[in-house]
Amino acid sequence: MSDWAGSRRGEAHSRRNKTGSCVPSRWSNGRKRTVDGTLRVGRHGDGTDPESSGYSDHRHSDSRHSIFTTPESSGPVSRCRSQTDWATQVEDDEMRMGAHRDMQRRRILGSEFSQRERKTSSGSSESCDSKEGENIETDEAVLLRRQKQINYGKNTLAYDRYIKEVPKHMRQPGVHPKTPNKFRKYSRRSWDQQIKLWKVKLHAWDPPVDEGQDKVLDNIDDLALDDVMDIELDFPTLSESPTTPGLSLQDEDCAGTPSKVQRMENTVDPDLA
Amino acid sequence: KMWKKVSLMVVALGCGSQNMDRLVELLNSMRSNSSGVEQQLASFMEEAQCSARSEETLAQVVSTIYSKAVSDRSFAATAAKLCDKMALFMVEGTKFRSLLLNLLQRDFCRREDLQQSDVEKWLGFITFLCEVFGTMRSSSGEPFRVLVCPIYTCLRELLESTDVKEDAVLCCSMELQSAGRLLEEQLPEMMTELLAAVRDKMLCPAESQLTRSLLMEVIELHAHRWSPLEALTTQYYNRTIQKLTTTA
Repeated sequence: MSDWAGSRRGEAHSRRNKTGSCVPSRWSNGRKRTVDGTLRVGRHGDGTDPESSGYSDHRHSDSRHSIFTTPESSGPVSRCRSQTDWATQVEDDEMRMGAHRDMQRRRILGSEFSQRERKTSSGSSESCDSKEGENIETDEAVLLRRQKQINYGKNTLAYDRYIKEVPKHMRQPGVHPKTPNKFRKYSRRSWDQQIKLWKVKLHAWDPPVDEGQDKVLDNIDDLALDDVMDIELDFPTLSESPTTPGLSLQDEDCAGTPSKVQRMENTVDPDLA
Repeated sequence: KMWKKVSLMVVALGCGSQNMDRLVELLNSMRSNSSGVEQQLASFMEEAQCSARSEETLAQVVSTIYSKAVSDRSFAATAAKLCDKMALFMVEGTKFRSLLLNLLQRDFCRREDLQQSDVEKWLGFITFLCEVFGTMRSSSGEPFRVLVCPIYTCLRELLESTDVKEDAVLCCSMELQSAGRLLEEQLPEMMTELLAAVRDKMLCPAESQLTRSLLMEVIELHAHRWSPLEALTTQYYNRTIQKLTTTA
């Protein structure tokens, strides 16, 4: 019984590496140095190489994890628990099921759509690009990862405000952010870049800082807080610039913090892509 | 600015316990089989959603429900229903369901210690774990597959327990009645293994009559594909078990 459980966990673990792990994908580009400048030894040399060159990224993500909670995560997970904790596995299963349904829906709609395309002259340049037939992304792991990245962007106050303010039919291409289409074939770099630009654009709808604080401090005036002690809090220094090169190609799990999360957590500038 | 945030957190934690008392009251007044239970669940949910403004307070709500669920086995089924309704409730990026699964996983990881230190809680934990699995579904309508293996493990451990043998076997039998079908659907090979252990134990003359009756009922249920046995058979077992449990 334990053997089975062990191999099951192993399976889940390797699945996780394909989808959401922090091992950098730029490894496959064959670059000799990581972004940090550390030299990579050889592609297939030591089994530990990918780990060691990715280690600095792991450290990044770990130190961030202890402070920020990414959406739909179970919060900081203690080391003694397996890497794939139950909460995350349930989330993943849910997304996978959702992705299947998405794909089925897309397949049904896709055939209709491409027929319509051929008949009418295409309007926007984007519909020209996708001939739904050959260019659909079907790799489940990729779809899951992309959907996760999209979720991070949508799970923000900025996105909520955006969709309330600008109905879909009023959207102007170029001006208004548009969610990248996870079903189209793109390279990893291209996709990550699209996500980044999309999220940067969404920041235009970030709530004004004052509004957020007021909500949180709703009843504070009603309470007499004269006796509350001064407590020194140590906030880590965070990279201010949303376009730090080190972040651009990383898996979205490690990068950025959606502003929705930050209501109670900290007072640092929420504008972090 | 920072000072205000900290003080708010302090206050929230303080107020939290008052809100928790109110929630605990609501929980205590829920009787599993009463007709008003749906309404009670709804009021509880409203109350909880109002008071859980931060991740900390949400965690307290989850923890409150969890504690009651594992310490009162008659409440476990109702608690599971409640958790199912509240599963996707999210505060600051954290879902109710995730916090609940964290607690379950924590107790699963330390179940040995739990069995040694507080055997009732251990039984309560396993009961609640099974109820959660049997009742809760993801938004795609699927049960939580990640719980399947842990549950089989726990059921096995119930059968092998040396202390509270009969209570453990009773717990195992009841949970198999409730979640057996689903467990077998998910992982038939492990059910086969489990049943083999059940048969072994049932055929062991050293086991008490009560144990063996409970186990025989399980075997029949399995053979019956987990649907309720014929009325007379069920009556037989009820009578037998009652007889055996009321003797000094």
